[in-house]
Amino acid sequence: MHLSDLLHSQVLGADGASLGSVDDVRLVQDGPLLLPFGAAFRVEGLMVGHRSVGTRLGYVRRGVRGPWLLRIIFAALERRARYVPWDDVVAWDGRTVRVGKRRDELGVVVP
Amino acid sequence: MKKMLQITLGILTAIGGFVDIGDLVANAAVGARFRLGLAWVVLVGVVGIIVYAEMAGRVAAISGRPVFSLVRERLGPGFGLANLVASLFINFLTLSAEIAGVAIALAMVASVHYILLVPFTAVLIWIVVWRLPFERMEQVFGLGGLALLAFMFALVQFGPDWGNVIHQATHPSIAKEENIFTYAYFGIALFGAAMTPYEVFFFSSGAVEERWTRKDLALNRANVYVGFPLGGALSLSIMAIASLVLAPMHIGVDTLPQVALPVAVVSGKIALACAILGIFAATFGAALETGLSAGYCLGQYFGWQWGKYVRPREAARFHVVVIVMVLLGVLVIMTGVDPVKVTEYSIVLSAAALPLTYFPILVVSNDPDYMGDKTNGPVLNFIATLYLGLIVIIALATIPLMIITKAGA
Amino acid sequence: MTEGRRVWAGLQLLDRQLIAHEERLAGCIDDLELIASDDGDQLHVTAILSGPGALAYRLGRRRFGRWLRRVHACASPTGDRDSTRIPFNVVTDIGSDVKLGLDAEETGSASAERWTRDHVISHIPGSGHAPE
Repeated sequence: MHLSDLLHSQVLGADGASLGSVDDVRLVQDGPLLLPFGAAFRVEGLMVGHRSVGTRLGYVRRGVRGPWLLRIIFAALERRARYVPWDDVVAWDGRTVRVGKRRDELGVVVP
Repeated sequence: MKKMLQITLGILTAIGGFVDIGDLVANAAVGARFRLGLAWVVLVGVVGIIVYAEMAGRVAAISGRPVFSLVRERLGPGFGLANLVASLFINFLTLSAEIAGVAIALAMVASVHYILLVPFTAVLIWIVVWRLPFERMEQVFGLGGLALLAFMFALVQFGPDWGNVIHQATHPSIAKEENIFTYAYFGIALFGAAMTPYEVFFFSSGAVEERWTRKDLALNRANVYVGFPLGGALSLSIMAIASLVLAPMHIGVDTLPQVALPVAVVSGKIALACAILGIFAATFGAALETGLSAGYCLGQYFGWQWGKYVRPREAARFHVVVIVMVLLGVLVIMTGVDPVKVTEYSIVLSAAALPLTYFPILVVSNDPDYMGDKTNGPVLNFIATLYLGLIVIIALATIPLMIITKAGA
Repeated sequence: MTEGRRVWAGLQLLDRQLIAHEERLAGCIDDLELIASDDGDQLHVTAILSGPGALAYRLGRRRFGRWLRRVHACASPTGDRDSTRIPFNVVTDIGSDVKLGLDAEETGSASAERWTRDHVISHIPGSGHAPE
């Protein structure tokens, strides 16, 4: 399957409420070896948000610091997103991701 | 010594290369119609292009990434594609206008109808793209553009009452025959002529073509901080001489030869020949830039090998795109459409499309991962953010103004 | 490559420029291939997808994208080479762009580039002329 299948999938919480959609996917390099590259990337977690503009700009997650006004705006937008560790994902059928927690049980996205 | 020479050459090239058919037509038309009432817009536009180009050049020098790669990276492929389509369309309009400009400049000398010269012009443009090395190309046409100093010469020779000139420029007012809408519309046109996106696509891709690194940042700054303002001064002298010669006689600027008319009236044949040479070099250079920019945009969006820094056979799709664009431009101009009208649409739409490409550059020039320690300083960021606000407002106002004023009638 | 390294796929991998041997530009990362582990619990990134069909798929034209990729693979000289798929093994560096230990010829839309070169550009004199 493709990463783009996972991206923008609807995400539902434990109570069935919509948490938003998958805005980005965090990868960690601890999978099986793919030589000569090294360990493969494994899906570690999902950034679940509301498809707001600016998720790709890097204001929170990549240390882009200015200009001040843009940082305020985009950081505020990104703060609404939630991070879902892959272990908390109960099911994914290629269209919808079901998470075993409610929104208030999820943490914010950290760089 | 060699560095000084390089910097001087860069500055001269930037001055001569600053003006294209959009600047020629816009500054002359506005000067003839509004006298110096919109002169301040040129200043605002010049500061804008300085900010924009310096950031784009710095980003390209440090990270090796040109504008359109960043557009796709930071805005995503969907927005990036919409951006690409819009940019290509405006690029196409501009290229058509520049090709017409070259043909008209030649026609002013050859006494043949310009349409007959269009195919010849296009072949000439393409041969230069195909064979002339990038730096040489920039230098030849940039320096050739310095012949436009004939306008400045004519202005000085006219000997206006400078006190009056300064007063007019600093106290903008709207003439009785005009209204706030046409004033705003032509202001936007003037702004779009000064702060054109294709210039930045070209500038940024050019930095990668010439393999700029951190060491070239000083060169970047010199070109931009010295070259562009002097280019702006050239634009203003075109506006001023038009306001002094054409405006009193109520002559409007509807054709390219009318742009050069004041120089002929004030300073005679030789100065006119100089002006025509300058117009030829400026529009030819701009045609090269817009043609290549089309290739740069498409190539950078899709990740193809692009550029003149490799053999043509190693960037086949890039060169095909340039050829196709030039052919389309030729076809459009050969239909006999009014090249001044095409120019006007191209600069107005350029102004409207500015935020699309300006915004990613502003963000990336603040990204420490890309720029290391060369991110924007707070003062630059403040000015750059103001300009972002300004171009967003302009983008929103353009189409309504175009409709209200019936495209400046 | 550093073990345990973390990246955000959308922010740092997708839409990045691919650079092959000799600094040749070789397309962009249009999409990533994910394969489930044997126990089905984990997803691993096994390949980069770049070229015909991959971008169309990513932009939502799924059927068209799949079709284009299939047609392109069938049209290759050996009839089965899916050059849209670049195994992650050949990635050598991830930074502001992603470097590959391959020739540009072997990637993504290289065949389209080749076709254009052979059928259009080669016929124009001077196409092999070095730039400076």
